[in-house]
Amino acid sequence: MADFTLPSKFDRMIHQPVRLAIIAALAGCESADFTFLLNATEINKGTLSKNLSALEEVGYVEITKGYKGKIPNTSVKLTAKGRRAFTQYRRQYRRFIDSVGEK
Amino acid sequence: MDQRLDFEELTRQIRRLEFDDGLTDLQVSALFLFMNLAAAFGFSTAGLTWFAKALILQREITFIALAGIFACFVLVAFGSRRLIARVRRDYFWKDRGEIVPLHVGVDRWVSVLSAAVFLILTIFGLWLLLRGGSEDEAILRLIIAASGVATGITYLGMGRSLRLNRYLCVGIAGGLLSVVLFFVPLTYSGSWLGLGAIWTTILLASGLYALRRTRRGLAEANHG
Repeated sequence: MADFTLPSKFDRMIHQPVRLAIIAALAGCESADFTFLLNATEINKGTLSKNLSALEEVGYVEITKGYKGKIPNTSVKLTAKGRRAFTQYRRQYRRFIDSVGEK
Repeated sequence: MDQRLDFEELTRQIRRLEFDDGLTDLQVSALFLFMNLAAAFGFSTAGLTWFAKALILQREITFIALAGIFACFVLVAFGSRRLIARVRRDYFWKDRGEIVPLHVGVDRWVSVLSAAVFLILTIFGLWLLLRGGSEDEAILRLIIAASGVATGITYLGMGRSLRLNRYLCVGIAGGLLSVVLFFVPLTYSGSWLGLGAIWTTILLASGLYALRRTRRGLAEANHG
């Protein structure tokens, strides 16, 4: 039996390009604001907002709305659950890529 | 958005932001200078004599002064973090949005390896010291060199995992010079000063180089 997980069995919440980009970006920091995520992932506002809500619903990210001075600011953070899920996803992904002999 | 997303690279790029502008290097270089100057004075004959006299004559004041120095160190460390965050928010990351960098920017395997090298060399030095027969100052220099080598390994590991060539150079130069320090016949206090000089200079150079490049990049972006 193959010792890798088929992509069809990957965590669907992460294995989707837009959400993967968001989670990969958040994995590189403690938290990021909405503007940063827009620039880093090159996703439009609506799509980013929609996908962040989906990730928040499953408990992968935590969204905090507040103010920086007088300017509204939305800060997004990967939760411990989200970080664990991403670590597991990376492991499965690497194992799968290694098994098909591509980099 | 590019569908063929290299998500590992995206995570790496964002982790690298904390080190790209060189401000962290400048901060660490200042802390190295402060710590090593304190160690060099503390372990010098003058420092030890002063400390002994102060303990006998003004015990309470000495403890308050030491606590004050420690508080200053903590204040400088946290104050400089806030200052860096401010500079990034107002200048470097003005249009890009903000992040809070990871609390631990070093991979676990790097920390473990660097701590293991430090502990092995230190235990070896202490073993030689207890066994006798070797020059005491050389053994103490080994412990100081071990901390320099461990720091070098940390930077090498960070350079490798973040693909930051600057840190590969910092790690190799600092680590090798720390080894050289072991062979220089300095006193214990002098060796602390030497270690401080090595790491402060290397990190200062690295920080200034990165800062200059960041400022040039910003200027080009503003004019382009």
